[in-house]
Amino acid sequence: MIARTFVYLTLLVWGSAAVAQGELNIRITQGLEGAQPIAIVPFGQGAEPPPSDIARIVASDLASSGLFTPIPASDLPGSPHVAEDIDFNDWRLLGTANLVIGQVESPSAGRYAVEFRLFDVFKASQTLGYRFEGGGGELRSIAHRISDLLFEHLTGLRGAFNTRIAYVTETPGADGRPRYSLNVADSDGANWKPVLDSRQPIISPAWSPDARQLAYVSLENRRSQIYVQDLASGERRRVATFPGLNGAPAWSPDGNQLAMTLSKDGNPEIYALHLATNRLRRLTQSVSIDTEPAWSPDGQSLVFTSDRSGKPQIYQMPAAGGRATRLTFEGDYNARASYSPDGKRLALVHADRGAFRIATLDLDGNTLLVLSDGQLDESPSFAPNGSMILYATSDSEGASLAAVSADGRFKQRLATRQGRVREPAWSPFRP
Amino acid sequence: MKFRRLFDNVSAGFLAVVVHLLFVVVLILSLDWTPDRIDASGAPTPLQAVVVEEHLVEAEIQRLQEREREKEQDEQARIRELESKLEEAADKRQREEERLAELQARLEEERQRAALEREKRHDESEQLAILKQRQEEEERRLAQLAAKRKAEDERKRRAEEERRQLEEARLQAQEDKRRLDQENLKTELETSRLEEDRRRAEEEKRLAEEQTRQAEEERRQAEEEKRLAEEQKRRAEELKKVAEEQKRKAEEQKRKAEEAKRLAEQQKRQAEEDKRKAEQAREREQAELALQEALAEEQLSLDLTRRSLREKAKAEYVFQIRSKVERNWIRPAGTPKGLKCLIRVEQIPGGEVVGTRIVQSSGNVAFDRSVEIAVNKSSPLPQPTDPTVFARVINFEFDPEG
Repeated sequence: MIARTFVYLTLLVWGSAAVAQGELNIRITQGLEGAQPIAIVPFGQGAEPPPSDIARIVASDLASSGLFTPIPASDLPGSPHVAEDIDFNDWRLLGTANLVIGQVESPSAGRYAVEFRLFDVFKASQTLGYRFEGGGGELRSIAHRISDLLFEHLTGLRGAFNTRIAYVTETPGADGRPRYSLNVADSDGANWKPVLDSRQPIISPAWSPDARQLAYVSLENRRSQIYVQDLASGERRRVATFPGLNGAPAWSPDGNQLAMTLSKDGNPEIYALHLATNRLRRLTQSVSIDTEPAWSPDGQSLVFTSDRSGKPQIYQMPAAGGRATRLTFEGDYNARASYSPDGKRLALVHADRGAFRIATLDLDGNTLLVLSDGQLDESPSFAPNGSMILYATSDSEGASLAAVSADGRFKQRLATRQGRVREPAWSPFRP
Repeated sequence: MKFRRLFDNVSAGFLAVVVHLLFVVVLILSLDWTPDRIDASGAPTPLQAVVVEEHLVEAEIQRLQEREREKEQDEQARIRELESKLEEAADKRQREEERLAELQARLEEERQRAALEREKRHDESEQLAILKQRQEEEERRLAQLAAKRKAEDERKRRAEEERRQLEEARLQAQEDKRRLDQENLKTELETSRLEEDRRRAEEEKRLAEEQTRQAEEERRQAEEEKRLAEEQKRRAEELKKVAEEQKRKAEEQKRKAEEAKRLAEQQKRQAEEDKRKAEQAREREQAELALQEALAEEQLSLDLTRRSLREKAKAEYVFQIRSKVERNWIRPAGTPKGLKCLIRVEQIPGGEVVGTRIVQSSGNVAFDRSVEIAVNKSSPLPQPTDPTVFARVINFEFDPEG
């Protein structure tokens, strides 16, 4: 009886303690996975409109990441440009937490001062704010830098908006013969310019780790040769002119070596060329085709494509060469692998029911995730922050650039130079 | 001479009668004590006190008897002396012997008669003893002792009497013989007649002296007996007093016993009362406990009902909040799996979120941010139907894998 009384008391005390505590514990497990809404108010401007719409570029950048959904300007409850003008209650009703305002001033002709502020609507406080100055031609870059800052602040990931991409275009020439160009553009595809034009095909451009140089294969001399070109100066040098095939250059992370495919010893094999000494090391020894090497971010290993099993599959081997391990087993065709910046995944081309699509291979779980939905998608490369994968896609209208968020949720086409776009490559971060 | 013997016998008999009467009186005095009153005492203790007294009495009696015996012995020695003289005379005179024998036979007869008498007396004393049987044992024994002593005295007196009679007879015989001698030998003893006369005179004188001495002795004995009687009476009184004391003590004891009994009964009654009270108290306590338990159970049941209602309200409240927060939570696309975030949210009545603090970060800025936004976007949080379940602080655990 005493024990029972004790139990009652315990229950009562426990009950009242729970009341007194006044704290609830709630577990949230369901949430719509998707992009975070963000309000980017068109920037204020002076009498002379700047050549670039900063707010639009920023919104586009953030949207391209797949992580943000910029609210259409027409839906915004106001267009404040300074903090004093913000009525946070209105913005709260909008339900968005992130509010970006800014303005562009022109202190002198051709010079612009850009400032922006990020507000937490619910806290009614500014959480980020910067000011930039530059000429009219730098406004896009300033916009990308703003995108990077916002992205980094809101996601914790370094923004890769202020990076560049390289791609090859094939355009018909006046004489009817195709013309090939190696182009460099902003990450959003804008601001493109050619760095090399040729009547012969240009393939496999590869960014040096410092993003200052491009290595590529040019057939300008009617045979495949590997060149390294400095982007700022335009100077270039031929680094591989071995008999037979010279292809698929890949920079080591320290920038000292180029891995490449050479057939000088018979069938295509992987070699490593030390750029300073021109010393060449053969890394693969097989009777099959071994090609498309790529360095791991830590420089310890290489992945490559080999048909040694009969069909093209991805293999991994130590950077010094040696026994290779097969990584892909799904499908008849897996090729053109490259590492994600964190080294945990590979982006590759995967033949999926007759279509060539971009996929990622999770090296930890060895799971393959198809990201693209084209028919002939090729040449994938990770953005330097790993959030996106750039690739070329071909359809009835031609071939163009596309980017897909690393989870495959968000895809976008990138505006490019006219022509058949091929062989894109995303640059590393600028130093 | 004959007359004197008779007188002597009469006085001795009278004395005997007086002594008997005295004993009877003593016996009557003894009998006066009501046996049932003695019986009432019941307890043996007072009797033991008498035993002590009895020893004294007995000692006294024994002492007296001893003295009597001594006297008797002396007397008997003298008698023997006289008898020897008598025998001498008998030797001298053959004829006289026969008469003496005859006298002795008569004396014997007398003795037998006395013995019978004694027996009769003894029977009487026995009867008396029987009568006293109901009396307390000590008293009876005392009485018996007295009777015995009386019998002894009687016997002694009788012996004295007999002796005296014998003496008388002997003297008579001597006288007769002398007379005969005088008559028969008057002539030849003429010369010694004076001598004889003188001798006889001397003898007579000596006898007279003896008698005087005997009388004195008897008187002294009577006095002694009287003293003894008085002593006995005193002892009787003392005994009576002792008995009364005993009776008083017995009564006192009885009273005390009754008092003790009364007390014991009272105590018993008290004990019973106490027990009854204790029983009642226990029953009351049990009833109280049962009531309390019943109340506690009722309270618990009520509380459980209230709590179940409250729990329901709370569950509903939690559901509403969770639904709203989940509706407002946009989980960042492409974030790694296994992210968890703990956020502490403060709200004020009305549900307005007034503060959020990431208690445990997921390690992913976008994820944490989305959590914070989800909570803030859900402000004001839904209100509970039961205001008591309102919680000022809500700890949200965002766990999409859970």
